[in-house]
Amino acid sequence: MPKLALHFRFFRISVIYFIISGVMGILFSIPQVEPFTHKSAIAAGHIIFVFFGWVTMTIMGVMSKMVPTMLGKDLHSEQWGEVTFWLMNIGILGYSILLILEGVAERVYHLVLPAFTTNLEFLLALFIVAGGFSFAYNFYKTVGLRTAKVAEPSIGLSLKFFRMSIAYFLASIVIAAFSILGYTDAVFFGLSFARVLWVAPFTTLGWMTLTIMGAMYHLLPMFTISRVPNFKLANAQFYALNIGTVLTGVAGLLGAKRIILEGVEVNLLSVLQTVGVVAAGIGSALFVYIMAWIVLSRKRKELNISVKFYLVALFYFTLTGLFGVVLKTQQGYDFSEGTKIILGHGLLSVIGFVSLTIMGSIYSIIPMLAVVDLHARKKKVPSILTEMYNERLSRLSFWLSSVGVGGYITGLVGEGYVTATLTQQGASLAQLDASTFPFTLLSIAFVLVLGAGVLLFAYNVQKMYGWLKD
Amino acid sequence: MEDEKDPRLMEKLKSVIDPELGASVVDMGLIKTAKLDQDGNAVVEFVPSSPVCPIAFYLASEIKKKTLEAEGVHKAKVYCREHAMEEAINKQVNTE
Repeated sequence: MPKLALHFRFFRISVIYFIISGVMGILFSIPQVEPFTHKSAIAAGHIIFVFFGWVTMTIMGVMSKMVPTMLGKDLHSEQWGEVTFWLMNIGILGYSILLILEGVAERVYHLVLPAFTTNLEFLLALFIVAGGFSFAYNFYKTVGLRTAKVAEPSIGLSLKFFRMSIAYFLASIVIAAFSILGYTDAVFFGLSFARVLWVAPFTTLGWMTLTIMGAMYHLLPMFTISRVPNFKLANAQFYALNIGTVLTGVAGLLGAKRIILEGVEVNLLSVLQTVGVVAAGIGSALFVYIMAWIVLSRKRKELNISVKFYLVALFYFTLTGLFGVVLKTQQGYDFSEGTKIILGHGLLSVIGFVSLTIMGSIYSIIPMLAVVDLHARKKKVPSILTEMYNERLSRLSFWLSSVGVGGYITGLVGEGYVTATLTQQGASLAQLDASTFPFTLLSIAFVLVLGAGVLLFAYNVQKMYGWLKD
Repeated sequence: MEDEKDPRLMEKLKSVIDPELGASVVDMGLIKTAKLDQDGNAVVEFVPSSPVCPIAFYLASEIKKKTLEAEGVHKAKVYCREHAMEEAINKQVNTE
């Protein structure tokens, strides 16, 4: 059997990482397990699986095929693509397994780890950094630093988003990797997320959100048979979000608090932070407006599974933004700090927006690329893309995932809200446990619903791969 | 004068299905022209449902295959229009 094309292997491994991280996430939501995982290296290992294994590997797969296809050319180098694939996999597996082992040693066996563990962590993280750079090299060599005039303006727009998002990705992983050894801490304000190679908002807004936005400018009009209504507006959206990312990112690195609107001392950092948040807010609102316009003016009446996922993801994206503004006020900051409200907000973005968008995209991208692949190999092509997977299960996976995210986040935020309220009232630990218990149960129930949705999705992806076998 | 949409070609092209939408390219109105001259030279122009759809390569190839199967056709040229990669598609399908 011939080896699967590079992009298909990226997709396949990303879904495997998604399942691993999903199972870990479900285990982490069990109250008896939480003391071992909360703020431990085990949780960091889990985040590496989600952020690099699932999100980043899927993005790399999409960009390795869809971007050259957009331009009617081949990827600059398949060999570089292979190098990226293996560097990333070695880094993701090695680094996350090391973190999990460290967490188990510390939390379960109460062992003090030898000092060289940090160096080992850094070395394994460097595989991910090297993978990021080899990917970026291949990407920029394929598309160039500027796009010559293309027949379809949405392509130029998408590429603009991708060029910037990759730059943010590189910046964030380099800063974070060197922070593992403590080098960049001296320059930048303590990076609490360095261990997960994460520098918000360069990672969240810059890498994940900008990439997804770039892809949606290309994919949503394609799936709905529609068009981007106004490219000037779309460009304004691009610049607003970039201004927001850079200003809030720089302010954050230099130690600005994430508070805006009230109670903030007026200085350069707080101004950067506030202007950045406003710009990011404008960029996000414009994006939702443009996407809504694309859907409303579509020529294709029925919404395919991908578009359904996108609509729910956009709803969660809007919710994340509004929720984020509340959390950035003095009151919101004081109330939520240290509670599960912050976790709920983060997961609303990572699962509600990012993961649902990726799941939706995969439901159409793999079949479309499979048709091209099968046709090139003179194999049987499905008469309709939905034939490649179980359509009923795809609808079920959509509902389970969408409802699961909502219920799970509601449980987390509810638990955080009750914790914050009762803590302010000076409640005892026993009272806290009793009052938060219903919300914990709610989280567990809905994370299982979400998990079922993800498993059905994975089953369908596997079914799609069946078509590619000889 | 040649018919802009030759009925023999259109009938044959009804069997070309866009796998994304599950409908015939004829029924979806994707065929812009389908001409056949007296020497059996056919020229078909089509506009894919989306200017960025990667399936356009496949559609162009299927349209050419079915056109060549139509009665009285000896040679066929297929042109994809209003697509980001139309140059590459047209080159590929007409040099096969």
